[in-house]
Amino acid sequence: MAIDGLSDLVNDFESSSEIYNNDVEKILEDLNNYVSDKSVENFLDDYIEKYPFFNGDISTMSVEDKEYTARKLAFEEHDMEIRKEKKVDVKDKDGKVIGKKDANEVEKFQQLLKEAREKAENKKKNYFNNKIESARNIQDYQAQKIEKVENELSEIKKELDQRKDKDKKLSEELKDIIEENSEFDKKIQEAEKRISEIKSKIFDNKSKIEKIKADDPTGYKKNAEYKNLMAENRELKKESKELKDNIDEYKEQKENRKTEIEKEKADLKIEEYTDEFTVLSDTIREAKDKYKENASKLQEKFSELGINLEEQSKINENTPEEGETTKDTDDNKSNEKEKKNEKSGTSNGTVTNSKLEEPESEKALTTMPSERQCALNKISQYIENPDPMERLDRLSHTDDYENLMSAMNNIGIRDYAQRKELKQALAENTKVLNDNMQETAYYIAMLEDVLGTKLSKSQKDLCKNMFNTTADNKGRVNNILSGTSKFSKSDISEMKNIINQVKDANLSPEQREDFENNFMKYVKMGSLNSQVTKNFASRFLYNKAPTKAARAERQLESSILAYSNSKDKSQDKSSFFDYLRSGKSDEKYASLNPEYTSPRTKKVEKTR
Amino acid sequence: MTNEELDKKIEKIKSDLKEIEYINNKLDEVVNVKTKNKEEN
Repeated sequence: MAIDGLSDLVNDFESSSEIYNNDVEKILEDLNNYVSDKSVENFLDDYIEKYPFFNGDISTMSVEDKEYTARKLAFEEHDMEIRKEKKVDVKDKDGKVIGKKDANEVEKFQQLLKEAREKAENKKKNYFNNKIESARNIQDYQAQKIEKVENELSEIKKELDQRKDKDKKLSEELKDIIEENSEFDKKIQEAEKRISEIKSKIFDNKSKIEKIKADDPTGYKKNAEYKNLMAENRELKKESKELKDNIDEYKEQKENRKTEIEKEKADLKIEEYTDEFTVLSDTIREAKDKYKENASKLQEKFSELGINLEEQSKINENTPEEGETTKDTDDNKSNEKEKKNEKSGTSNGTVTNSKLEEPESEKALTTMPSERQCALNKISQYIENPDPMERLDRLSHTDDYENLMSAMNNIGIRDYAQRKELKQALAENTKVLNDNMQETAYYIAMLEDVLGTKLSKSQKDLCKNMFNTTADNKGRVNNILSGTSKFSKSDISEMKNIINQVKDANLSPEQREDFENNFMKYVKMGSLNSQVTKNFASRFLYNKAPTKAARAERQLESSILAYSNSKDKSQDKSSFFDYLRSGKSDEKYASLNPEYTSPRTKKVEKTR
Repeated sequence: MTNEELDKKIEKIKSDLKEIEYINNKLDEVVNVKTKNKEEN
């Protein structure tokens, strides 16, 4: 499902949650893949945009193949630009430069290159726009969902409070009932006491009746006392029965009312619902914290990638129309954005929600302080530095332009003139840097590889100068580099010469690649200062004396092999040079390494 | 509100929370992916 359809999907979510979930998963997966493959993929995409004749199929390449291809193509592109430059100067018979050869072709090429780059850049930005939109929609949806759950929890809280009030009232009622019950108990006790008295009286009366019967067995029925006693007993029995009925009634009433209230209290389930509410509140609190953390990280991630969310939204939506000034556009965009922010509560691409976020004034002080501070420092350094070259040096790579623009927007520089000045200055400097960097980056990478250590910024700056400026600077490079590497000054000087020769030589891409691989290998082995390396280099640099160069190469290989077999590897480089200078023969190397076959032996075998 | 209504509400919240957790986990995966550029730097 297309990423563009996400907004609709969010709206229709209630009826299609499964589809939405699948889409979210797909989008996030896309985003993940894009983020992790960004550098190489971007390069290859851009390259294909620029050179449509490239016929490789990057969709089927492994990551390693893509990296290798990107590196190779970068080298070829670099080579192509050198060739173009070489064609440019046209001189008259006196050696005076009268124009540029193939000027139209060069200009056309440059124009095409510029357009292709812009197109590739827009494509990249549009791609990010879609991704950012997706992320925003997901975050918006998440914010709404969290808010909804919070509202529902508030309702539950209200209900719980009401139930607690009711429970309190029932408890009081129960207390009253218990008091009332004590009255019942008293009445029951009195009734039981009276029943006991009645029983005793009836018993006495019965004794008297029995005595009257015994005294006059035939005429006792006419005895008045007998009649009275019998009547009294009947009354007493009647009273006793009534009392017993009352007691049962009291007991029943007492239990019924108490049970009724206790049941009503139990039905409130206060403890159960309170526990449930506590768990749900904790869960939503954690989810909200996580949401805020992710929103902040997502913003940070887009910043890392040099993408400014505010800038992105302007590319598609606010391309100036004919007759419309840039200032108008910027002002409109600013107003529109402010309105949008007021309406939706979003700022800088991070989803904010009135229920979720701090007030704006607090937010400005607390949101991502390190990024904010870093951006401010960078901009101040840039603005305060009066030297244009120094300014240029601060932008050590092209990504800084986007990062700086992103930082500028993030900290909210809304003044148009200030923004315009910064943009223009940065764009100019970036253009100069682009021209130089493409060329020098390769050599810096090569030096770092050779030296086995990363160069500091000052060393890199000197390298830039070395490849573009005067001999003095080259000397400074030597001094610094020799201080940080295990190679001597003469080693570095030799390396520099060879690299410069490569730079000027008319080599095919294959030759360059071959040279690069082998040169680095030999330099790493410590053989830079030997004559054989020079010979080897000359084969590639001038396409001369291939036999001599091949022999030199074999000599070098066998020297290295013999040395590594015969000497302790902890020995330093100088002893290896001594070994080379001692002029040992092929046969000697062969005796040290049984697998080695000298060129002479090979030749004899071939002849046979 | 009756207990039945309250139970229903709580069940709905639980279901919503599950979904929130699901999306949070997915976003978590996104924000914790390191960019190649950063690693290289």
